[in-house]
Amino acid sequence: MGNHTIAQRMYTHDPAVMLYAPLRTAIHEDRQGVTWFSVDQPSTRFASFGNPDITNVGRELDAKLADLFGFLDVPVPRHLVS
Amino acid sequence: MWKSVYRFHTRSVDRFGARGLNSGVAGAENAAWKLAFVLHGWAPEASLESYHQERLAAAQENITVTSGTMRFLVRQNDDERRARRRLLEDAAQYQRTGTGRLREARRAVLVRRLRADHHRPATPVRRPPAPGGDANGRARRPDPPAEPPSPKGVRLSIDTGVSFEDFRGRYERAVPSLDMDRLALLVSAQVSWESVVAATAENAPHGFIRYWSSDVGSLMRLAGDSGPVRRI
Repeated sequence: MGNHTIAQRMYTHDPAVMLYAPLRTAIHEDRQGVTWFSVDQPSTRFASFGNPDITNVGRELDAKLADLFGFLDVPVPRHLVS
Repeated sequence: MWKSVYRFHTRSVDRFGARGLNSGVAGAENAAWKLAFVLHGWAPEASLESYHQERLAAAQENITVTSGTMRFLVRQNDDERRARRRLLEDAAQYQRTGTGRLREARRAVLVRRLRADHHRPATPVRRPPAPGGDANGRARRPDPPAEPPSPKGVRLSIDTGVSFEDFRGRYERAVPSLDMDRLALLVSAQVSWESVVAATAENAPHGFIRYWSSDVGSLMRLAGDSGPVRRI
């Protein structure tokens, strides 16, 4: 999942950001029957390009992800919003 | 037969050349006539500057050639020794070559190889490892981390607290799939970026769109693996 208009704001600095855009996510169930939602924290992926302009958009995606988790009524990891 | 240790040193000092006797004589000759010309008023004082330029260049060439010669004489490893042996054998072959173009061509190749050998970077001298240090006597560095030091991705795995089907339904309603037809239409119509932003906002009520998804679980069950997995 992702958003190409947000990706564009990183792409303009370095087209290589498409390596991590859109984000890869997975819904998976473990042997105990617990359903998990997994995604890599966007800012930690986009920070790897070493460009503050890209990293800042990554942080914006963190905040959007936190909002989505709130809407879906699942726990929001603390470091996602800090 | 006798043997002695010959220490080889090179020094190049700004504004002052103190090298071997041969180049020292050339330096003295260079300075002498220039000083004489300036003192007699035959040349401007600024011409003395050419002493530095010319003799520094000579010193640098001197260092390149003599260092290269020493590296040729004192090999640091087996690869270098083998390269020298090949060059000397080819030089001996050249000596046995007759006259004419073949001899000239062989000579040119030998000169090129010798020059390349002289100008290659010096091989670092290997010393036996010192206790607690590496081969060059530096303090041993800690082992590198298993992963490169680039920023690491942080994996978020969240217990959804509901069933797979329940969460999947909720998620797919919140994050709609990409309206590919509309996007293709916008691109073919060459609309402004603002129009793309507006259309995307409608497609992404919570900021995100699903670009593709795959029901991996039903495939993996064929291999006997249980549990639904959906990549989205």
